[in-house]
Amino acid sequence: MTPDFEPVAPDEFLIRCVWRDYYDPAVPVPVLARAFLPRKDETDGISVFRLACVSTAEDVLAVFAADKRDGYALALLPFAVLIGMGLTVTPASISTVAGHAVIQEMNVDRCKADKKWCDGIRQQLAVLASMNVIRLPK
Amino acid sequence: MTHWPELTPEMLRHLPQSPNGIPPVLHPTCRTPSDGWKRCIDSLLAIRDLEDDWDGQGTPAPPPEVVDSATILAVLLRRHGIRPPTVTVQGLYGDVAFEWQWPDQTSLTLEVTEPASATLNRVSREGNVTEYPMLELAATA
Repeated sequence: MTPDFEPVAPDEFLIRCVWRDYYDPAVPVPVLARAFLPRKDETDGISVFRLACVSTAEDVLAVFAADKRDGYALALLPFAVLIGMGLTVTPASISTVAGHAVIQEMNVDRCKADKKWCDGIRQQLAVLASMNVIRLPK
Repeated sequence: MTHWPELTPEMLRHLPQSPNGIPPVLHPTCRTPSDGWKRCIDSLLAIRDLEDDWDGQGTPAPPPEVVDSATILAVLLRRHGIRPPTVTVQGLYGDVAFEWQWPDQTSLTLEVTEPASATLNRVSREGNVTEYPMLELAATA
């Protein structure tokens, strides 16, 4: 496995955890753009996990309380596509799960300052994630 | 108690009305627009029951007054012949959103951010955004 302090390589895949209310397989964009909105405390960008740094994608669910893990879908984002969108992903190690990283530009301050840009990127990420959902919520 | 203002044609013209244009997707579990509005109201009732930390990330539940205001807006929109949203969900910031989706993956989102206040924007699958500031609905006392 790749050590999670190493820079993210262009051929890597990133995992985004999507709460079940923001995933509906029956609609044209199953992963809602709302799944990519930064939280108040995400000043350094929204969280993703590097598939190369974990044994299985489900490992990243350990970041959540046990009773919430089943509520999450997992979607893959090819980093190469994110690069093409002008996005940067940097490692941001945390103690609970290996492979944590952030999409730097998608931080709460930028999204407040440039909502229109943020809304556009969120929709593109939602369309991309919708094509690569690898785990369904239970 | 704040109330929604009277919804004028100017306010409603960017929302999907039958039979104008290509209709947004009706959720596949619904056979008719009436079913779609029932599904929307059911979602709002479920949202009203949410508790803080509903997603395990400490996210607060939307305030009941926001959910109630969204519910009233849903009733008003239905009365004005607006098609039902494809999905109705809570946000991360105490908001409630109605989202219409089209087969070409365009989305139109009406966000109730506080009682009797909402914003509207449309985003194409390529990320082109159209905001409708004219549709910001001001609260009246």
